[in-house]
Amino acid sequence: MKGLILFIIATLAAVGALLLEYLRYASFAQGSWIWVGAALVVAGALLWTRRAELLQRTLVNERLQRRERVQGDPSSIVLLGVLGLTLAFIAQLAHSPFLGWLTFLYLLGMAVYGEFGKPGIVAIRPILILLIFLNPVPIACEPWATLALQSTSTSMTTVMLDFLRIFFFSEGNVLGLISEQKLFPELFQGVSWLFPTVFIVIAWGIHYRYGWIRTTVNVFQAVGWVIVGNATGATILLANKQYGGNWLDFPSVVALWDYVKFVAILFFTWSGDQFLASTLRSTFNESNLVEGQDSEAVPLLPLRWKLSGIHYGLVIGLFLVCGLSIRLSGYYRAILPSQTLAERIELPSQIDSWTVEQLDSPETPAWLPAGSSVRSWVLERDGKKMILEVATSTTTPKPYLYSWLWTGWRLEKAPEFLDRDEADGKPMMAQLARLPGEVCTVLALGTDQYGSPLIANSPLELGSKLPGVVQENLLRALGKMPFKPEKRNLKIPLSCTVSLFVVSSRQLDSEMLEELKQCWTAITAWVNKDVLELTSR
Amino acid sequence: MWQFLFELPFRVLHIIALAIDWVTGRWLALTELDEEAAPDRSWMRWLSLLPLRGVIWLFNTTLWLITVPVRGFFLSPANRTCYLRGLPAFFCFSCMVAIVVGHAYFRERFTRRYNAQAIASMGKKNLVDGILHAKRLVAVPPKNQERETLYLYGIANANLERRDIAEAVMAAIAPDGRIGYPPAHQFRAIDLIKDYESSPSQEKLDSLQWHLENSSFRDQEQRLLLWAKLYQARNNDTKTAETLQQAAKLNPLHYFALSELELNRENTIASKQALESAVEVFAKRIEERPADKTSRIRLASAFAKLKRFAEAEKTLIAGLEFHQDQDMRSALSELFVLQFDGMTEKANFVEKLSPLMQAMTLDLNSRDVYLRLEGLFSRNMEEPSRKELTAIFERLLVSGYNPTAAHFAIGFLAAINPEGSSTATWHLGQAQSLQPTIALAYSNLASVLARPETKRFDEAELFARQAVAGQIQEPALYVVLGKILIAKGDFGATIDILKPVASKFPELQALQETLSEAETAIKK
Repeated sequence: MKGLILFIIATLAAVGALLLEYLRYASFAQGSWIWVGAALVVAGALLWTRRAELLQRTLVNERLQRRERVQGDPSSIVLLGVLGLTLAFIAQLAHSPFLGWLTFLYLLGMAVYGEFGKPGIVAIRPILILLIFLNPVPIACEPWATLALQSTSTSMTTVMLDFLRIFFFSEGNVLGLISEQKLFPELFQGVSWLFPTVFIVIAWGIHYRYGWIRTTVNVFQAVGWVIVGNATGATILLANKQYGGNWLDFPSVVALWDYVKFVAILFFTWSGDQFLASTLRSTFNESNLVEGQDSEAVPLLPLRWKLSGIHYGLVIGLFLVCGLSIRLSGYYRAILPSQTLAERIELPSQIDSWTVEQLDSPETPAWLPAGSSVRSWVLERDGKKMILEVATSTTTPKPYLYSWLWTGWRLEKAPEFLDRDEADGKPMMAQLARLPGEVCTVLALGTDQYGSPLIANSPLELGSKLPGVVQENLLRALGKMPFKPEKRNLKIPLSCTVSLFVVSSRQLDSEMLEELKQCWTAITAWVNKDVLELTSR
Repeated sequence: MWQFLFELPFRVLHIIALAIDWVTGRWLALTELDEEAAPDRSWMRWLSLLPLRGVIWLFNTTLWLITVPVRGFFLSPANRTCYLRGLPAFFCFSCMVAIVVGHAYFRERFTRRYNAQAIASMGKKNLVDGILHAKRLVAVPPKNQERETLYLYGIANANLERRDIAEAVMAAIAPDGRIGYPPAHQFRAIDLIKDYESSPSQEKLDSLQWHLENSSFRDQEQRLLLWAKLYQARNNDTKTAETLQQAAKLNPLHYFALSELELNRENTIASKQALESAVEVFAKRIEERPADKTSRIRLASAFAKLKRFAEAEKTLIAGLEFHQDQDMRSALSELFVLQFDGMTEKANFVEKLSPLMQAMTLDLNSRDVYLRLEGLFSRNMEEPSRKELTAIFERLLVSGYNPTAAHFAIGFLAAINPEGSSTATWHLGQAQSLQPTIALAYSNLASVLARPETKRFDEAELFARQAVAGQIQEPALYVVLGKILIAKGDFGATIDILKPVASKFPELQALQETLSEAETAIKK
């Protein structure tokens, strides 16, 4: 047990900082701290329920080992240790909290393996898988997965509304009632209860020792029920509004309805599991037995090792050196509470002969992650109108065009980066279209929470010449790229997206495009100035 | 075994249903391709009339919904419990599948409902609703109706004054140089002609011709008129006349345009012929339906243009028997104004006054009458005539006959006399209070107030400004205002007000002179 504790200390020394970052990050990505906390408690509880088994297996294992006189293989220790160290190193270098979390889980598994051997790993394997699931999907996939899921849910809502003879209109994933002549974005802000449902389904499977086939099938049907639940929920609320109800006017009713929806999703997932268990009993039950069987007959590997205090000290030292060396190389750490950043930006009433007017009641679009804020200004000159939007977020923002795609715009042609000869801070220009006669030209530039341009993270990479996250951090570590945002061309810290766009009925002519670019230069200078002023306070 | 026996009849029915579905589906597919090539099976035709696929789909779903729950009774007790727990999910899943499949099947019907709703909303002038319905249609157009849907969306936008979107939509479905959706070509042709009138160019004419050639007008008259406008823009008078002739056959009103065209071409005979044709058509219409007011007015108009005033008067007076309304009276009033215009210089004052008085009797609000009265009085400024005229109008005033005109005339006549300022102010003020829309009264009142002996410039400016409010087509009113402002010494305001009007009416000498007077004064 002493060895296990020491190993955990070493692990925390190596990736602890990243874990803290991960917790902050994951909590916002998932919507609330409660969810991550609850997930960790559930994982702990599951581990606790298996403690007796863990010890029992270990005893069986030791007895068998003694009987068969199998010795540990020192080379495997080195192999596993080097792999762990490499993972920790890459996690630090890429400054990836997600990889940090995975490294932590790997090292935890390794420690359990070291202490309890293969049976220990077999006992906690499902829990480790559950904890891996806590890691959000990579940032490049997550927004698009959300988009696809919401798109499916919205489609299903439209189907149901059609059957209810309710006339509606849509802007991408967001639906509105024609009778109200209003969109209801609050009902279409991404499918809710997906991660909690799937987590509960996996936890349920672990607790009842379902086989992997049954659990996988249940996860898939849970995703289906989440979509159906969200669609039905939105339909019911819209139908209520259509027929004169006022549920939508009371947030508490909507919240209550959300919980009812969650209970219904869980119920139907359970019911579906029961139905499949009775119909496909052979597959499900066989799958169910796998874990029970191997509890009796665990094939033992000769890999079994015990480390002395010196060995532990060596490992701890290695991790500390690795962690500290990276830490000491000095990352730029953004500490500004960015959700207030957009709110604090003040633009003058005139910029480069463009009249600037702030749009009333800036509402943060519901599909942006928690902690985001958006502000918009209208710029007018000689009857020409442009809109400036500054969106900031405490987490990595969505890719540039995400909110546009959410509201039904589609890319007309591949976006291109302007000023290719500059080192970074290149604005991206995109042509979007929605319905006929609705064209939008967007100039946008975004940064992640470290001030890096959001290019490598974007699924719309489009052969960007900028290095990716890992490559960029490596270049920084080697001194090939500046660390501090002050040295950059665009000095917007934290995750911040600046977009300047024109909505028109036709594609912009070259003259208007030139004006857009000129306006962009003037605007970004002001936004940078404002942001720098704020950050220096 | 028991389960198998139980399910067997359902399975057989299921297979039969599928077979029927396949056979009729094939037949329908063949019919769609080529009706003659399809085998003549009357029973198939009968079957195909039913929403068969829907019926079979419903039947199969029902079978599924019956057999699956019943299957539970053949399970072991433990599994049966499990099975019963799973039924809610099964039914819910079945419902979802049914809804999704049913929606796919009835998709056309749903979208057509939106189509109907969009048209109905636009018919009720509820354009926002119309556009929202059309929006949904554009997102999911009914099968083979993409262009119709887009057209509907474009029209909705046009009705909502979102011309740019409407134009972009129409350009997408009726592009230049490629045959598109005919009604959209029509829309673009109408749009282009307006655009051409504001900024002419050869490209626009070429484009207009393309869209006219590919449009499908339900309204042939409109099509011919657009062609006529195109020919006219290309200075092809012969073709214009031919086209107008065709249009006039559909609507004789266009005989007037044809007559004007021929008159401009100095082809008086053809011009007269066109008017004669109009007379012929409208006279026939009145013969058939004597109460047809529009035709009667047009007939009178044609007579008047042919200078057959007596017949015109007779036509309209006969019309008063059917319609004692203002339209008919105004038409008659206009006729008297035309008669006045047609009088030669040799006619004396009383002869000239007579049609104007008649016109005034018929239409108290006729601006044309007041303008002509003013002109007539200005030419008869001798003292005796003025006194005689004043006496006539005073008698009219006492008799209560058209007090507005009487006040106006007396005030105007008094204003000519330098000592008659107060009388003029009072009478013109009365005329103005009786009929505030008479800009001329305001203007005259202003002139009176601004006279050297009165010098009530502030009031004069106020009335002069009221006179010009929204009266850009009457530059003479601006001259009065300009003169008052100059008298007040406000040269800057004079230039500001007169400059835009002077650029619009460069030929108006009085206006140019007033402007230059202000400009000279400001330089000093």
